[in-house]
Amino acid sequence: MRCEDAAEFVSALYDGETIPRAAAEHVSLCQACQSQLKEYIEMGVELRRVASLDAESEVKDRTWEKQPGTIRRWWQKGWETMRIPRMAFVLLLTMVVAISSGLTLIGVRAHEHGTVAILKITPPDKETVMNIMPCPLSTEDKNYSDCDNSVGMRSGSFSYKIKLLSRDGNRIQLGVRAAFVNRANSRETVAQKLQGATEREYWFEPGETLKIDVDGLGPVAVTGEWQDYMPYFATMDVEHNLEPGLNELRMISPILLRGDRVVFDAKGGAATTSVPNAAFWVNVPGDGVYVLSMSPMPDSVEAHAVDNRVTFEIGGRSYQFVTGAPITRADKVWILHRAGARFPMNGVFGSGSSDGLLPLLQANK
Amino acid sequence: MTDHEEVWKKISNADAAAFDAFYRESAPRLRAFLRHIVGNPQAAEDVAQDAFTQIWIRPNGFQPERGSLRGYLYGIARKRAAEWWRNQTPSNGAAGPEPSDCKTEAASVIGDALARLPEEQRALLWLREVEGQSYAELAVILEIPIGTVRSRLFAAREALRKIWRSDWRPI
Repeated sequence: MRCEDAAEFVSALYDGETIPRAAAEHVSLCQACQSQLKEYIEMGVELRRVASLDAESEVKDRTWEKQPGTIRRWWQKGWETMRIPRMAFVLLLTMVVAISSGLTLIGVRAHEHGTVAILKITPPDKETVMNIMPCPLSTEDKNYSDCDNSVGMRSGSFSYKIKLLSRDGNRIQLGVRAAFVNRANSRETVAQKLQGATEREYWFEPGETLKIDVDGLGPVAVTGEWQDYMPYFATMDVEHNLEPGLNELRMISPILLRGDRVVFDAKGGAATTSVPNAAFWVNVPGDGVYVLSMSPMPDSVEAHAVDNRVTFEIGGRSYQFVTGAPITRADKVWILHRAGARFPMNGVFGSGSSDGLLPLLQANK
Repeated sequence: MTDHEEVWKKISNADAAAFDAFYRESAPRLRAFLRHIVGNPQAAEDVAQDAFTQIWIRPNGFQPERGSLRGYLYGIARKRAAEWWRNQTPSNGAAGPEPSDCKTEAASVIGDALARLPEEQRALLWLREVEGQSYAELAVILEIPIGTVRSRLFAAREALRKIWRSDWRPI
């Protein structure tokens, strides 16, 4: 063995680790390696001596009182930065909570002490057109143990479904189905392809990067981190703040009312986008697709956006989107209704640019 | 149940006295570590206080099976120190760690050599040499695979040795 090969083992030996026999034999005969070891010992002694001089025993007095929980602190932050009349917002939120049986806030509190892996999915750079929502997976609550998403990419559509299968210490076992369709040469929708895709299993440790090869798209990176509660905005890549960003369209736990009847309810779901011509779409079974956009679309109607609601009329009937938080900074948005149509995406609602969404919608009229 | 698990259990149950004891025992060494990471005593104090506050508010982030409570504290402190560095701009004077505020000339030799290493190597060497963290604990604190700990420690020692021997050590 040469000194270059043994050098790292000298460091390990100094740390009290056992090293391979060949390395041990080399060190016992090699002056240079013994000198390296000696210098490590001297440096270690010097460092500990400096540390002994540095450590001051004086400690600043502090009072340790239990702080309010995370949800409350998040709420306080939103409350402090709120720019709409606070009483008006309380009334609006109370109404939303009443309509949706209080599941939004109660649901969050029920997960406050759970163990949640927040996964971030990153497709190859050249294909990415927008941020993809994080995927929160609870190891304690089966209702939050999977996530799915469909995303428009530069050359097609990418869709995935991730299930949490088990946990071993800090690692989690994931069942992943993923599909990509190139819009130029595929008649199959991404949802159809995803349904036929084989589920592959992976072990993943938050803090590391898992690469998943998706046919036609390339390597998709999965990264993540542990949190000890299910955050309210878990599926949104946004600051925990009630204020929508500039040009942002934010739909949190939306419901759609036609007159006084609820025709769509995505309780607990969330979507956000800040791309040019930001838009939000919902599939309403038996009724068709509604697209809400920050800019006019062909055949669309103008709608009024105030705080957490958007009101509009189609065919003489009044509609209202009501959500759990302010939707946009704009006071005017546009709505397009396509009766009988359906988006070829997974899930019941989503967001993106209306430029990219409308061609998909027209192709599936 | 180990000592640190017992302490953590008490902290999880909002036992302020148990946490204060943990704070008083750990704070001086943590501050010394942070002074060598952020290079500024006031920033080290602030980062240390943040780290203790985080554990007090959210003790559930600690997993006893992954390492000691002290290791967890250093892991948080290191992340906070990294955030502190990210928030620094040349205009607010954070050009790099200052030479250590040493009490003897001999102390400044190794301290200044250490200050010339990248932040990760400084943290790694300090945690191993001074705090005596095991390879497994270092892997958790630094969020790297355990196999990488050995190679990075070697690289850090060699970098320190090079500076210490060639530039600083009296011949």
